[in-house]
Amino acid sequence: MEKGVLYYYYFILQYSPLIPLVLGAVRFRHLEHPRRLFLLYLLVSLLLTIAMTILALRHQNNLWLMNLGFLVYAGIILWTFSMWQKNHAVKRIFRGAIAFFCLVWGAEFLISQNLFSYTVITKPTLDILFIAAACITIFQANNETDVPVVDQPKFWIGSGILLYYGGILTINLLSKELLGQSQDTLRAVLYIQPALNLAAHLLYLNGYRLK
Amino acid sequence: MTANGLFWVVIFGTIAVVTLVAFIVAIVLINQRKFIRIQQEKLRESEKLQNILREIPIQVLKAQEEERRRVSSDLHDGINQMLASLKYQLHSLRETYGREQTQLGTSIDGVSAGLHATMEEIRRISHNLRPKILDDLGFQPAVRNLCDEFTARTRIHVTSAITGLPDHLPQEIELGTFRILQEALQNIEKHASATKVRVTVEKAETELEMEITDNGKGMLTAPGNIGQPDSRQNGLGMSTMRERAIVMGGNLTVSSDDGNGTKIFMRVPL
Repeated sequence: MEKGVLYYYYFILQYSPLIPLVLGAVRFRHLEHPRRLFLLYLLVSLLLTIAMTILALRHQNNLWLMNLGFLVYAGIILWTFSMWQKNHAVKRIFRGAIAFFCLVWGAEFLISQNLFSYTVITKPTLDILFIAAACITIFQANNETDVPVVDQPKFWIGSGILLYYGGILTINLLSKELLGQSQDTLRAVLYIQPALNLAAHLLYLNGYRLK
Repeated sequence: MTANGLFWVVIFGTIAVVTLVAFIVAIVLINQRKFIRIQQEKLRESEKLQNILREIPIQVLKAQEEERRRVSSDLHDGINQMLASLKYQLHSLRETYGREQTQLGTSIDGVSAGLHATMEEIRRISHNLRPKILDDLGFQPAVRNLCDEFTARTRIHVTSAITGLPDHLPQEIELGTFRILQEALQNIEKHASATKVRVTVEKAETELEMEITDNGKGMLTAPGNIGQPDSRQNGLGMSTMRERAIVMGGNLTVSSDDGNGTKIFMRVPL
């Protein structure tokens, strides 16, 4: 019974990208370029979740899909944040970070020669890059003098990214430190990740609600 | 051991997530406070600007009064003195030659009478531009004098009642009120076809009130607005009177019915 509840909890919350995705699709014409691009991230995220679930149900390895997804996520999210930057140097740094991440990703898989396992460096690097980009964007949104942060989509999307990737990074590091690479680590992440996912998507929803 | 580790993962994980949420909430709160401060600053700036804009008509009216004072002084002390000298010379000519040559004497008398009329007209214009009596004797005698002169010139009977005023009013109030009365009487003379005018000036608590009523033909009433004159009839004089009242911090209303005279009511704070 308890297993069933957890299963549905995890299963339903994994599809929370649908919440902002539907609103974003409805309002697509009125959205500026960064929010349109971020919508693509939500779509890719949802499609990857579905594909990974199908593979998992067939008892096939789905980590390769997740690892490939990192590249797409890095490209879309860092490019989205770069589009919000007014400072050209920061914009270039954000876009340069995509290339840097591709190098890290490539290096790790070249060394490990295994795309079908959990990554050691790539995922934390991705999380740190996203957290840094989100913090810079939030800081800039706070410095705007014409519009309050609550009326800026970049603040809500930045907050969502910060909350999700910041939370996941912390949980992953703590789990590995306290539990090692084990089933418990996975379970600990599985408890919290869907909840973080939902919270982040509600924040994105706010970003798409704004004109 | 593993269960204990899992417990701490959940605890620390929750703390981390709560910290992140707290960070986001703190940003929102700090930003809201900042925006309240910015809004207050904008409001202060806007108030400053409004004060400056409010000052402009006051400065314009002051400049106008100063210019009137200068022109009045030039007319009275310059041209009128020259005309007085001419009149004196004509008088000497009349004394010297007019008795022997009657025709010349009659001509000089005619010129002298014309000169006298011109001097009177200049004196009247000068007086209108800057009533010296307002400076010399004060507000109440100036108002009475204005009413008396108006009656003498136009044959429209003016009754004035001034009650409860202190000896001295602020100069801007005295001059502004006097100018409104002057303008109102001028309008009555030009447009009202009135035979009687009543002017009352009194102090009501902390305000100065002035009411000018006439029994003239009144003004056309605005459609669907009984008692309020049609704004299309409110000429420059009427708007100048209103502006003067506003500059003094008060207001001025005009009520009129077609054929039943006009009432102008001014109220300014003292």
